[in-house]
Amino acid sequence: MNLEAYRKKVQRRLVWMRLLAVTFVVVELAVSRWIAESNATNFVWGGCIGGALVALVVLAQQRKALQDDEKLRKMYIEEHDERKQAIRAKAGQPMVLFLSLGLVMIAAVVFFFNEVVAATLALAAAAQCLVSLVVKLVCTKRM
Amino acid sequence: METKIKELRKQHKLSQEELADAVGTTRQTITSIETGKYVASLPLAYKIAKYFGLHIEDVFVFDKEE
Repeated sequence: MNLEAYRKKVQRRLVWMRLLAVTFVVVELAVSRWIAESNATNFVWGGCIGGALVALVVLAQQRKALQDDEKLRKMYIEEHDERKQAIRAKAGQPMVLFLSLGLVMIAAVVFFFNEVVAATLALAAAAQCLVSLVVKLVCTKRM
Repeated sequence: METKIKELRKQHKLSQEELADAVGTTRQTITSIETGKYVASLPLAYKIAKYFGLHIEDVFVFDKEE
């Protein structure tokens, strides 16, 4: 277990999370300032608030772990546990999350042109996440 | 796969949590290995066996049919 290398990895992750949270806030502000309110702007607004909140929660969690070696060690074990890694792989993570995020981002852009297509994309992303979650739960029970 | 981890733990008066901590895994993984739901990888099997001062084949019983 190389805790120092992991600490650096978590620190890098914190920088990315900060960047992500700021990006979400900037996009949210830009959309609400320069684009007239519509279903599309509300969708983008909601997505940005959700994204920023998730980024902040992860940020707070990981910052707390960085200040406490024992918590950092536990987090390292949780992340590198081979059974959990196998379960995550079976559930298609992290690729499903990336694909879903990509679909939601495309949906946000498409929303300005065609609401039906955008809603379909958003639902496809949600369904993908749901299937992944169900597979994860089943595998956790079985393994 | 059948294992002798539970017996060894009891001999050494160890909890699942303590063993998991010592070999760098989670308590749930130790539970799954003990109940035969999950087959440990070679590195983890080696770590567990080494922790008890035994060989892998003394801790894990390999059934040819598996």
